[in-house]
Amino acid sequence: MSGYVSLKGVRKSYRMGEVTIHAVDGIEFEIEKGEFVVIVGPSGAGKTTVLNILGGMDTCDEGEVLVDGQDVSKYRKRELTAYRREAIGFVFQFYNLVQNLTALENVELALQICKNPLDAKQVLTEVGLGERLANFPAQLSGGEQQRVAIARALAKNPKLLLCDEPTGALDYQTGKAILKLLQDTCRERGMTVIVITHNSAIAPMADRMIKIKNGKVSRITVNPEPVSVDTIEW
Amino acid sequence: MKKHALHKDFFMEIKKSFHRYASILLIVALGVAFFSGVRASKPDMVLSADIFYDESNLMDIRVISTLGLTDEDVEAIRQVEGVADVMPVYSSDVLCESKDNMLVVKLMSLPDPVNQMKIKEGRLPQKSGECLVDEKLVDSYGYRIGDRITVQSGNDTELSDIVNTPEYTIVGYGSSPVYLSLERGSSSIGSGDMNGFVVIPTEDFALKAYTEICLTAAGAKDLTCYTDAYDDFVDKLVSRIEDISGARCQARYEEVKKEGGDKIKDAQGEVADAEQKLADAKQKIEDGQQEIEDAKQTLEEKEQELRDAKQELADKEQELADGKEQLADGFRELEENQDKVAEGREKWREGITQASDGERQLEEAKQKLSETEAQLKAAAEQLNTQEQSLNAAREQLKQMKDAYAALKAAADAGYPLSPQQQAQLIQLETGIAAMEPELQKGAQELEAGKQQVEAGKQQLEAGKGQLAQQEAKLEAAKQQLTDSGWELEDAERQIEEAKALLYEKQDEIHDGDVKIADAKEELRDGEKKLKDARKELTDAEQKLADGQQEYEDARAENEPKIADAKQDIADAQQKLDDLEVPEWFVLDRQYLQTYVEYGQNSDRIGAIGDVFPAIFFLVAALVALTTMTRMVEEERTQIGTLKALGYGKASIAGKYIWYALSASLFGSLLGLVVGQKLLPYVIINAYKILYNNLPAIVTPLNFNYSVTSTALAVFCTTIAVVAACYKELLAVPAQLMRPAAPKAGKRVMLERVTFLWKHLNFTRKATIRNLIRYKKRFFMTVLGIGGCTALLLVGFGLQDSIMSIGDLQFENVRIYHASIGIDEDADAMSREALAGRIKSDDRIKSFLPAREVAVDIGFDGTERSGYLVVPEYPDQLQDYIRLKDRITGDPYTLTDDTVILTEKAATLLGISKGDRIYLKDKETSRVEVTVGEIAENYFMHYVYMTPALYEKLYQEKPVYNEYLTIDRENGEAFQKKIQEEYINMEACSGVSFVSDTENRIRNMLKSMDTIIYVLVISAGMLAFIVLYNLNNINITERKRELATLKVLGFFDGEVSAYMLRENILLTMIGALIGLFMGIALHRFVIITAEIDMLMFGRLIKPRSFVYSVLFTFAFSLFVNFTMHFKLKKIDMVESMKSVE
Repeated sequence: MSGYVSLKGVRKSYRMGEVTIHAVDGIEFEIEKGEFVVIVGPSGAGKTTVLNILGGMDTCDEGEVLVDGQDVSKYRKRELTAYRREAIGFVFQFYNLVQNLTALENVELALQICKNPLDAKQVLTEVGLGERLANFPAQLSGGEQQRVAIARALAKNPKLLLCDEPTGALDYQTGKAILKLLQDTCRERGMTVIVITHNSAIAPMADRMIKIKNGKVSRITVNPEPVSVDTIEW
Repeated sequence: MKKHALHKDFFMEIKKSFHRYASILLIVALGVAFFSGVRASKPDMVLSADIFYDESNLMDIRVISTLGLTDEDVEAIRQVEGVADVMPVYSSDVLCESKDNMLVVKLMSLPDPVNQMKIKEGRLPQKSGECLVDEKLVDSYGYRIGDRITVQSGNDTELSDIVNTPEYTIVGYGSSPVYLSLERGSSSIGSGDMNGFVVIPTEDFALKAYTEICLTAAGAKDLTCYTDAYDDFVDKLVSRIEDISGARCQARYEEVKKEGGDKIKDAQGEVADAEQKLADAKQKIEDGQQEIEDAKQTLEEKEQELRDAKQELADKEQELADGKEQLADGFRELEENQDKVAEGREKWREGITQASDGERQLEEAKQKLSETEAQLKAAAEQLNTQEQSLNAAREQLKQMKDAYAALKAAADAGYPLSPQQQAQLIQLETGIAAMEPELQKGAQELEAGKQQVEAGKQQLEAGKGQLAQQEAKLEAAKQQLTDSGWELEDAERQIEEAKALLYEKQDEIHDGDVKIADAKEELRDGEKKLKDARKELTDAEQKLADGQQEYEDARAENEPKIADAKQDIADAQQKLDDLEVPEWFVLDRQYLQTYVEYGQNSDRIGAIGDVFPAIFFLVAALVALTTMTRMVEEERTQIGTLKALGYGKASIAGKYIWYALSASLFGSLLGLVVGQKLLPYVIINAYKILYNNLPAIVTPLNFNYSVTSTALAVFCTTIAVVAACYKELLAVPAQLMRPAAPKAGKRVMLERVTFLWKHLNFTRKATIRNLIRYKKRFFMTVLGIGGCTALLLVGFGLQDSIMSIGDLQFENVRIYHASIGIDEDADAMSREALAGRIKSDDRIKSFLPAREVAVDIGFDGTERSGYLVVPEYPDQLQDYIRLKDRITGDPYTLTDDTVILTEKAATLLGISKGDRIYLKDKETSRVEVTVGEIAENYFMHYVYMTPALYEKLYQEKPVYNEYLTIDRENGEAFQKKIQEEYINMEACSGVSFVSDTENRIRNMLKSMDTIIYVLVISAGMLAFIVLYNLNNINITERKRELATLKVLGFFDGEVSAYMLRENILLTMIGALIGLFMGIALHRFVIITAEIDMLMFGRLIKPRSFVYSVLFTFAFSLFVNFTMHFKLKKIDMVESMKSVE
């Protein structure tokens, strides 16, 4: 009840023609501040929906979504947008960088709407792109692009960093590097990071692993001693 | 069948992306509609006119000759091969006075079968004295059927040489195919502008030769006018007619020469007559003078006579007065004589009476004598008796004395006496006492009586002697009386005679009086008569003086006339000697003003059609291209899949090709039908205001334009699709299955300008980069928006240019307020009166006399009609008409060597400063002059020159025919008042206000408004479609990016702003480029669309720039506004999806 993030009885259903799909069917979990959380589950289990609801991109039909004491589920559209802008950092599978902006500018794009952003250059340097500030996304590799995306999310100095299959489009090594970056960020900055993945192999690196199946939390594993991603092989 | 699934996919595609399909269809429709519609306007205009021309059998060729044409000419032309109908025509320009003004009308013989009239109301004239008038005369000058019009000659030709009767009753009105518009051309008489035509029966014309021969070419009707085919066809006939002209002209030449010779002889005769008349008049006056002299003489004589008669009368009167005096004396004498005679007579009568008295006395005396005798005897007897008595008495007394003595003795004896004896005794005593004297006395008396008788006897004897004596005396007196009676009778007779004489005299004198009165009366009459005669004489003298004056005047007038006539005859002779063989002008329709103008207008529309639709078409093609490219790009994966499944390139590409082809084909069909039906109708309808005679508008579908526009549209879109597919189809399926590498971001030039770039925030940077990144879209948008702005600018600019004519012309160039026309024929006094009136009118601030006449301005073989303006004081002209350079505004001043010409005329005729032009006001008078400057002017053509130059060129002082005035007041009421006040002045030929002209121009140009509306509406549609389409593409293409922005926490407004910024920038760039395009296009359009007599303003008002840009932005914002909702609908989940 006292978690930093707390979902209670969250339900969400979509009508697809005559069929009603219960994408999220009473999910409940809590996350502490500064935790590295991995949400795993098979395709279509409702991971992304949960993330979307948590990230303020979607609304739930029922239940409470408490983030830092605020019930996000009661937010109206505009409040949701403000919530996204201030509290959420998002990392996509396909990076979603603005092709016309350089790495630095992509970060700045997010910063210009924030209240207390970090320094864009510094964040980019921290993610290891200090040399590539002026490059366009097309000039960067996938991993680099994802770093830019992470930098963009981090620079907003959000309460939550949500990552939707951040390594899905990346090769093993690069993916690993990205995960490391995320883990480091969590540890070093005390940032609450939630990563969606279908790869349960990375679960040991998380403080908490939430397994979702058919729109329900099937298991929550709290890992008192998470390992560095470097030690994990899959 | 085999590819059933593929076909289904095709239809599903259309259904799914119906917006896209519709947008392609619509933009193609719009492009095709505009393209084919505006292009078809020209042929439709031509066709509409051609049908009208054919129906009314408009002449193809008109033949006029310098010497007129004859029936032989008509016959000769009829024989020329290829001539269909031939119609000889009489026509002449005459004046016709209407309620307020003097109109110039063209009288013409009834046109049939060529140039058939279209009767609006009433009927054709059928007998002499009837006429059919121009519809324009009815509409503009208020003539009605049944009105009578009277025509008069406008030059020195006698009206009777033109027509047989000057009066005509209007029996109908209508229009002629020769005049398509309200323009009736110019005339050499009156104001110089033709106001309309009047058709009268041919027999009412008194002209000797036909004015022209109109004819139609056989087979020309099958060809469309204004086309080369038609022109060539008619040209051939023209040359055939020209071939026969030589012989005809020669014949005509001889005829005229002969006629001319006869005429000269007649004229000479006339001059001789005139001279004779003058001489006769002189003779008459001289005779008259003689007569008056004679009359004077006679009058004087008569006066003398009268004076003599008066004298005589006076004499006579004196005489008469004397006569009267004498008569009066005569009468007095007569009276005296008469009195004397009467006295004499009285005396005579007394004498007679005396005589008779004497006689009687004598008688009496005799009587007495005899009586005395008798008495004497009686006395004697008596005495005897007395003696006896006395004796007796003595006895008695003795007895008594005895008795008494007895008694006394008794008594004394004392015997008592008785009483009776006593009384007897007393009585006897008294008796004896009385008887005793008495007896004594009787005895004495007897004695005395005896003595007396004795004395009486003696006296009687003496009386008897005396009586005898007396008798003798009486006898003598009687004798004397008888004598004096005779004498008296004589005197009385004499008096009677004198009296008679006197009466006679009196009568005579009376007569004399009457006569004198008569004479006096007569004299008075005579005097009166004389007076009358004198008056008559004075009158006669006056008359003679008048006659003389008249004669002098007549001589003064006629002598130069006669001299002129002689000169004329000499000239005519000279001319006749110089007479050249006449020339025929075989003119085709190119010489019909409205025919040509209409053709030019259709050419202008054609020119506009060449430019405008191209923009639309280009934009349409670009829109189709981008849309299809986008579509192919979107379906990349599907293409790859199909390819992987083993479908051939053709099958895969087929879908997109069909998609584009069907959309563009249907769009074209829709567009060409709507465009070709609607646009030409709207445009021609606008021109119908000008060409009101054009009966019907035909807008057939033009095969040529339909096919070309459709083919072009389909070709463009299909090529775009093929090009878009080609790249994809070349790629291997695997490549296609992968998401396309997003188009790389690129640095733009601007980034090199670091100091600027640094100041931009990155959304702006992104905006700029985005714009540059999608070049195709950039160009399309810029072109679309630019086109929109350009069209709007052209629209507004056209309105500026057209509407500014009024402002520029009348507030900047011709700045006077009114012109008061001076009747050129008015005498000096009434002209003075008018000038005085204007001078003293304090509503008129200032005025300038000027001469303004219609002239043809010619240069290098072409002519334009315009006006020659000669201000009396050229240095004051700037206050009334500003002559200046249009661009620099430098004012020009008139010099005495050169003229200033207005700009449009200079442009049309290709005249530049320093060229020598000629001015022609009649066929004969033509002067050459150098152009000094070319001045700004927008309406009509003008040539300005100084009076000095005018005098030099025309060898006469200019007659000023108007006052240009600047008034202190304005307004309709003021204008009306001024007009009413001045029009009554004899020398005032009319007052016209500049504002009226301004309004007229405004109305005339209203037809342009329609075209402007068409442009503005099209521009709006263009802008809308282009922007809408672009935004659509933009949004779908960047859905992911926008979704990401949303995820990042951008508010809806911020997301829209992110897009809007791009659009606004695109709109700005587009609008800016559009402004330049617009300026160029505007220039092109006004130059092509200008009417000859107008120069549109070349400048576009700043307001129009602002409007065009604002409108563009408004369209753009509207589209962006709709886009905002579309953006709102974008789901953030999109960002999660993989790239397709």
